[in-house]
Amino acid sequence: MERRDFLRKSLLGAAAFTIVPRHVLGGPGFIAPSDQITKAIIGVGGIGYNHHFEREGRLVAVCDVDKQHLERAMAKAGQGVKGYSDFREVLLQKDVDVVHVATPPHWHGLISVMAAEAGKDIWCEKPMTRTIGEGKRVIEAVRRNGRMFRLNTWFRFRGGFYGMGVTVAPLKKLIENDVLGWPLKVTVSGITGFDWKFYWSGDTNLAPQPVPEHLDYNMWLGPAPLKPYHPLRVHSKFRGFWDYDGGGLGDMGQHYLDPVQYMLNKDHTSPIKVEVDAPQQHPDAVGSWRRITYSYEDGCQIILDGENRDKEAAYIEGPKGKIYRGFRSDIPNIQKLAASLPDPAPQITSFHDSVRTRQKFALNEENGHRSCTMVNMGVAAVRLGRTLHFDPVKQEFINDEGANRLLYPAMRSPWNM
Amino acid sequence: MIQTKYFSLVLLALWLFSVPNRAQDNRTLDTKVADLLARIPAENEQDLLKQMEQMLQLEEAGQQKILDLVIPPGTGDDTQARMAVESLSRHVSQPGMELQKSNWESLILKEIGKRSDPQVLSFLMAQLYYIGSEASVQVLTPYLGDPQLHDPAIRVLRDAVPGKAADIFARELENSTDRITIALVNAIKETGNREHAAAVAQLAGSDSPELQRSVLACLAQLGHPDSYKILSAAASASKYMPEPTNATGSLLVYAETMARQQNPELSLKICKQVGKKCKTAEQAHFKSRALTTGAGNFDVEEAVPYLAKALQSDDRSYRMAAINYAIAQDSPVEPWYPILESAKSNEVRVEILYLFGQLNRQRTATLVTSYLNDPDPRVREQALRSIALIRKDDAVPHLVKHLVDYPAPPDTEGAKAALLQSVNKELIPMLVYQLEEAPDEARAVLIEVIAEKRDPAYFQAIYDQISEGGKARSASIAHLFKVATHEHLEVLMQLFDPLEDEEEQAHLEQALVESILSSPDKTASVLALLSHASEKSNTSRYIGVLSAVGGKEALEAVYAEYLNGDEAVKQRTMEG
Repeated sequence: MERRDFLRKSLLGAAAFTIVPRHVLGGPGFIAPSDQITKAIIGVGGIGYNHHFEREGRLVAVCDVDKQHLERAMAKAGQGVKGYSDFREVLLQKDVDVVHVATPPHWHGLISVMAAEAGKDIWCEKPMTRTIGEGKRVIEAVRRNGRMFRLNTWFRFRGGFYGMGVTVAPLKKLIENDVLGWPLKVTVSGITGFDWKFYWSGDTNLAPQPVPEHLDYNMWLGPAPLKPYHPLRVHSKFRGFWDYDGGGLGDMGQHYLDPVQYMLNKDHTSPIKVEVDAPQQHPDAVGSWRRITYSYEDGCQIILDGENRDKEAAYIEGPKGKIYRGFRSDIPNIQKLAASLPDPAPQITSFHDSVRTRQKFALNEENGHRSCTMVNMGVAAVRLGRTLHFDPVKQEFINDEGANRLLYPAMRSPWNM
Repeated sequence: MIQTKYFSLVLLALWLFSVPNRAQDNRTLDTKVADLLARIPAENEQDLLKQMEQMLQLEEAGQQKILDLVIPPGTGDDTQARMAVESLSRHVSQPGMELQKSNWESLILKEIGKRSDPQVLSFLMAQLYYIGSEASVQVLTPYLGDPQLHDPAIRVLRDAVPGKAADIFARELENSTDRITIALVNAIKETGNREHAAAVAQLAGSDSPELQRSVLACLAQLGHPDSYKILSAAASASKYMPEPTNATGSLLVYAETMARQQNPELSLKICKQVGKKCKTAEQAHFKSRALTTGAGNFDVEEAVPYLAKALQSDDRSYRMAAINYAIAQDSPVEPWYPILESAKSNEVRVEILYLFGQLNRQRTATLVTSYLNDPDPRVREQALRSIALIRKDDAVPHLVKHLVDYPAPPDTEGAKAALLQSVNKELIPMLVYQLEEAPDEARAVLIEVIAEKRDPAYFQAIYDQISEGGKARSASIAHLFKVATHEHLEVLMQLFDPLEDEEEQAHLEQALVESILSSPDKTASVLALLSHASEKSNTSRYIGVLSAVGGKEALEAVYAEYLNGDEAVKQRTMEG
């Protein structure tokens, strides 16, 4: 029986294991390598190299278009781990169960779709996609192929929630039980505990440079438009270019916005309007912004206050009360009140549990797409320098053809979703 | 009449106001352009709007001067010029600026005709991403054969003339090669125009996996009746395995297209064909996709028996494809009742109970609740989860009863999670009441859930369980800190003094700390603690509490212990 057949059948449950428990053969907690869920990491430059090795799963392959990155990763991975420079070969490997997508964001959507089509489960870095259209196609591909998808941010289910000093759960409990009233205004800023990273802007006027021998630049660009190589364009600098990411908003926005979306119970919808206060933007290089305001149909608002302009801002403000950084509130005993309320519905918080049970992970392709849509709406409004209106059902901008042409930009050949 | 007069006066005032400004602007066109560029980047939307108005006022001659400043990368700094050009493209792409958009598009197209550097041309074509229209067709079509510029040209034309783009791309297909062919095929796919399926079909069977992948994907999406043979043969040749051309994936996309085109016979035939051929783990996703694609040919209710067949499989991923599809389609629940009852295994029962939890319909509550007494703990555990979702706070009596009936893991764990999700403060008395009757393990869970609600009113109820011993005692001591206030300080000290178990001591220290910290007069509480400790001559026992509480009195007391204590006490004070 092949390894994946074994895994598939072993999903039948714990009964098989209770006949001869593995730990009897290999000690407590032992799981034989052939029973473990395996992973391949695509993109082992920064995030992939520094964070994805340690995440759950037995590493069997690494992939990078930069030979130096690949060699470094293979040395770290040790014997038995295969190295690839073309992710398409990784997707054809039978011994890979989960693909970790840790490339720059202009590859996230495409690799996720191709991985789903190749029958792999997917652990994708944030931001989930670089455009709203790509996100819709990831949902289709994952759903159609019965794949499990995890987006790599976690504040909706784990971890200290930035400036709050608690997880998001007590805040959600208060909101679900109407303690603060409705509609709510959420301000995401340094005052409320979330410092935006403005230094991820791009450099302009880059003179073409020779492509280093160790980098397959054509493959690095992939679906992005062909532009001359410059070292300030690639690797950790990619965040500063619209073709590959969206600066601090693109890189960190989903970390900050996803738990807000979860708290406000907006996992199945999107804002209807985005307004920006930002300087004029360069065609290629990402610049900064000061303030982005998202408005929902029911009156809820999310404000990204990049300059920390509102010194008195509450993190959440409703008609009946406010919650400030550090979980302070004008409502007495707010923490005890939160504790007294029922917990939110449980979520699957181990991706491998999701892979084994085939039940959706807490942050999956659908709610991940919606929080990424906020990021991409913001990016579009900053680039265009104007207020945009959005239809959350059609997932299109309303009466703005220029903005809608940013939804499904055609990819550079041969790439296509 | 009055309104007309008023309107005329406003117009006159505006005209008078604008005349001197115009008269004073004696700058040359070059100066105006230089001034405009010098103010880039605009600080905000208002400044940007002004800048754009000024750029439009420069008219073709001035705008041309800005376009002239765009140069190939590496030959100088054209940052401001590029920002001005792209900003205007973005600006005129909004509604209500049709005339300005058309003028600007014409100028961009003229500029494209004059330039030869591919990077400059690429930048100019990128402007048409926002504003390209039918006017762009003639200028951009020749670039469809350009090895460096076919991609931006395709992108412009695809969006600028969606109705005609496929015709243009198909014409180019005849003379194209390699990567350009792939780009054109991809673009034809995206137009959805199936008139050109035959032209694309001629490219099928290519030795290039990349081209073959694009051709099959395109044919699948366009859904021409003649494409079935090609797609089916390709999938068959691939043995329905994952491979670079994704032939089986494309065949299934074709099945989806057939379903959309109201051809369920062919769609279902394909799904059946693929489902039969896919038996290994590598093909599991194709099999799942065939299942859900086939189900897409039925309305939601009719799809249930079709999906239910999948539940006969030994492959969980296949079964769960059916379950997840039903969840996504918001399936009716009634057709699933007999399927639940006749499920081939408890594992399948678990999956259907999961489905009911996710569908969250009140009318399944009774049925799901009945599975709380299933002999299989996995079934009971899933029933607990689903009950909590469906019944919400109404689930509490059932959960408490379950805890009493099944006071051992995994039921206790499942019940605890479900209770935490269901219990609000009004329902805590129900849990407290059960503390008298429930078995030891169940009481331990009830104590934990009560304490988790952090209501000091239940301190005594939890405290009382300490004398009961067993797991209830452990749980009470472990969770007292969650309900302790300064009013409980004396009781806690009395409890703490005789404790010998180190773990229990640590929990009680935590409760004492909470008790003191909750006091409106922390100093008074610390002094009360010190007085109590002094009476019992065991101040050293409270070093951990005093260190955690802090403050002058606590510090002095700890320091005194350090000076007077033995080595062990000194060590503890240093740790504190």
